[in-house]
Amino acid sequence: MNKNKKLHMFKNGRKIIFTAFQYLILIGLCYYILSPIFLKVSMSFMSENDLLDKLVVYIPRKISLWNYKTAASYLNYWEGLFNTFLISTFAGLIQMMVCTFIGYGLARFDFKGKGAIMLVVFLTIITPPMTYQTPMYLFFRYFDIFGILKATTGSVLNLMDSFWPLLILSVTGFGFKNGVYIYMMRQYFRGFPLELEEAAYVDGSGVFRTFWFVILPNAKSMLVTIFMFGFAWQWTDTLYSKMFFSRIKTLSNLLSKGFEGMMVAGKELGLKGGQPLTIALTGTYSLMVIIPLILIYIVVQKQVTEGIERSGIVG
Amino acid sequence: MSRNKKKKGVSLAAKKARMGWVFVSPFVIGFFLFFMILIARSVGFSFMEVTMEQGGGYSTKWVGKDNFYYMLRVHQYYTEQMWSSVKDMFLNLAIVPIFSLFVAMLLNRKIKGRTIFRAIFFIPVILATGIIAKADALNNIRGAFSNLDMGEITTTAEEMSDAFNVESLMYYLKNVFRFSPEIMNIVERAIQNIYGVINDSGVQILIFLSGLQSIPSSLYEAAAIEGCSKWESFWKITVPMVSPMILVNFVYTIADSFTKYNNNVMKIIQEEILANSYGYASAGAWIYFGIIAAVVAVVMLVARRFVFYQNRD
Repeated sequence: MNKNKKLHMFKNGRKIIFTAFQYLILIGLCYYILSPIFLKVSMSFMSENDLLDKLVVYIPRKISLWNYKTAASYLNYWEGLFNTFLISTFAGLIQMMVCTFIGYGLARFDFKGKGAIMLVVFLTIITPPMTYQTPMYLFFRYFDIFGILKATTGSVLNLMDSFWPLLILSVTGFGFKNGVYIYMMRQYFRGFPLELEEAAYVDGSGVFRTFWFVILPNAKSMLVTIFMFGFAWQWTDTLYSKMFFSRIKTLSNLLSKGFEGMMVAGKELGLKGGQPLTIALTGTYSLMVIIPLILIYIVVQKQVTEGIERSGIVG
Repeated sequence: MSRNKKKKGVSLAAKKARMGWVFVSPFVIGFFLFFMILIARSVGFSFMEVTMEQGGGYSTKWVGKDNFYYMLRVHQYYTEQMWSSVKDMFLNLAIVPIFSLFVAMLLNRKIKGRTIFRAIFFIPVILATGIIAKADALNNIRGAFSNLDMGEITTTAEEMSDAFNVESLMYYLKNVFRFSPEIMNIVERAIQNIYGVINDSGVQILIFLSGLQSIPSSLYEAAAIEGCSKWESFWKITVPMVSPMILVNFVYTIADSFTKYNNNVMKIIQEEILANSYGYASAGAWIYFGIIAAVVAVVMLVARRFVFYQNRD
């Protein structure tokens, strides 16, 4: 009896030490991730006087929302947020569906040419995006399908500043890092037990029905991860946004536009040219770009994790 | 009867093959519609001198292997940076997958504040496109013109690594735990560059996390009832079950290490594009691509032997 109690205490003690240790590691790592952001956060709450005051380094004298207000109004934050949210949701959802679809096809069916397609998937993963950056611009700037448009209408299409390039890339699974998503889904489905599908087929369910009602609900955590990748990378993308919709106000385009113009024409704010406020404003705007993204991630992933833990995925 | 059965089997296989094509059709269409063309043009550019014209459009002149010669022999940094990228990649490959599996397992445990931790570990994923870094860099360039002292505001990775006393730790690892010099080398790099390692692992952590979430908890429960220790169930359940994702993470780590926005070879190629030397840029990119492809092929051949799929085909 006594021995049992001792054993129990030993186990408890070990558990406490283990828990403490894991918190220590997580908090340490989080510190590293957050440390470049801390300064941005503290600067974002400084008033214009604090920013110019050499004595104020980390802690603002008075909490002020001046940076947020100025940054939001100068770089059309709300319009940018709205556009970015729409584009990212749309890109994330389409890419998630298409890549899952392709990944499932590559994992579950045997057909000639599958190896070649896998090879192309790898090709898209490892090709440096710059390799085809210029050809891609030219392709969508002078858009034509095998010369058919030119032959029939006499001119080519300019698809710049429209959603077409993004849509075409997303629907075909060639969007930003989509090769990785396809490969992820393919690997996931290869590891996914066959029994469920077989049971569904025996019950007379067709391939698409099975895919929709049996496969997708079980791949939820994968789907959410891919959606979040697609969503977050579209949200923060600078390459395609600049190339395809330079005239549409997205957050990333606005951020790279910066506050230089305001500093030059900042007399009405009472600023002298070249004052260091651009750094604080850019920092603040950076925070305003990433914070909604983090909040969305928290909501999406909390719902899903709870869903998974409740239902207990089938295996 | 048996003949009938056989016939049905054949038609089922054919039907399944057809379904396979239906599933991959978007990708095949995309490939023939534009990807093939883009790749062909880019390869073509690498053998040409490309001149952009005023009104839009461009003209080309065939120069053969001159562009490749320029990048490999004449360019000041290209070859040097390429080999150092290869070295960096192998170090990353040794550190990042293990580190991210470790973090993903911590984040998958039912601990208090898990949501917050996960949200924080999502930040490196957001930063992966380099949006914030680019905006900051732009500011630093602008700041340099206005004679401002930026030293105070930019926290560098080196500064932060000083938080650890690396040398004393190295001493312990070497003399107390008797680590081999090769492992020491990797550990030392990981610690000195911990900020970089964390930022390079964000995506991999998330991939592992989704892999871990897909492991049915009933497996662990059954193992525990059978008297399996945590350590055993890690090696016998967790590792085999996430091994398909380990392969994904290997490939991703290689590709990311080579092609992320702040890789030095990428910067060189970008510079050539900005200088309108598309021929040089394409040649540089394709030489680089060849090296990446070779590395991926080797790593895949070795690694795929160790992957466990529930359905072997």
